[in-house]
Amino acid sequence: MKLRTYRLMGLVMGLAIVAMAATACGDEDEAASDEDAGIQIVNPFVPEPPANLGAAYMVIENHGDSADRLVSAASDVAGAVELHQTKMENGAMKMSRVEGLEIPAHGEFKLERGGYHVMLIDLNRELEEGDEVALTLTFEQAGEVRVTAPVVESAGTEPMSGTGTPMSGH
Amino acid sequence: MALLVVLGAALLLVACGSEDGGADATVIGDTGADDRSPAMVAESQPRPSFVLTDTSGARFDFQAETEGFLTLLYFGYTNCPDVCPVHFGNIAGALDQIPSSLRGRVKVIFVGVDPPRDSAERLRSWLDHFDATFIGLTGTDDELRAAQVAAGVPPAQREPADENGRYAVSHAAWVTAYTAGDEETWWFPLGIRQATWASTIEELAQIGRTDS
Repeated sequence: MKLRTYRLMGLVMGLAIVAMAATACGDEDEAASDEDAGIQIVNPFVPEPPANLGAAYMVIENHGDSADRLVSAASDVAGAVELHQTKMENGAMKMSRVEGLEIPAHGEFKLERGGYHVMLIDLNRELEEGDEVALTLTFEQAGEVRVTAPVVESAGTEPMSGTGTPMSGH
Repeated sequence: MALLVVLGAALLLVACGSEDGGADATVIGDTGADDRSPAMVAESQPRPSFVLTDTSGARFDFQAETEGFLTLLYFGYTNCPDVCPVHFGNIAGALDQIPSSLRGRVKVIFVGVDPPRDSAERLRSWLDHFDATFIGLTGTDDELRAAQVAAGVPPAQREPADENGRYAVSHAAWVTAYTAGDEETWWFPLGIRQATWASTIEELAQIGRTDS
């Protein structure tokens, strides 16, 4: 009787561990990132582009012990893919290309509307809500990380916080 | 310059969390911690006078064509991947939410400040993506500059092209709203939430009309 109880407890605990492991794996799958890397991509999306260029947004998490750097991005839907930053300068929105994005160790980097974005240039097909864009992000340490970003209705996403405050430029 | 003063004042007001901005500039609402919308600035300034060309090729006298309507005016460009679609996606979404009786009192104008790429066709298709009733204007560099100066926004600037000949355009960050009879002029910076757009447009569309 006692033995059986222990066995039962062991089974329950075992199940719990399996369940936890499954949950953890599920999260990784959802994040659509390379499971070996300390880099995880969270909530990637592409607002429906109104012309033949668009932008991808996401949060890049770095769970590793050392900083990493996003150095380039590529996608088969675009002729060229660049990393860009939009910022306020003298009352105007100014967009410029950036060479790389530093993701701090145990930290994150947000690509948000009105801030940093992965710019998709010369789109070779129309992207509509419900489509998916495959992106390959290349990091200095983590190497290539593949991401699938859903195309969402343009109005359905909110801009980043703070950008709109007048004269918040850097 | 006047714009900078107004914005500077707005920033001060935001920083102080003041709800009462004094005689001619008032910052209202949406400065709460969990609402990411920044302040909107209201001041009294009549709609500007300028003439550009619309997407049908006709000359468009801004003052004459928009008087009597709540008018939203924005200077952007169709190769703008980030902030222009944010503004226009939110405005289009907001207009879908307000009563149709008020919707007819609103005109939305997008001025393409990048004439080499903002052709009538491209402007039209860019705007149709959001709302087929949105009005697209463009013109020569001189006409566009005059329009932006008249509207009190920093004139757009083409940035140097990269090795592939691609270039970005720096342009005013705000959407300006003029109530029907120019009773109030509002500046909407980037970051206004769609729900805030909807409630504000609904409110502003009822100002200065007696024929309802």
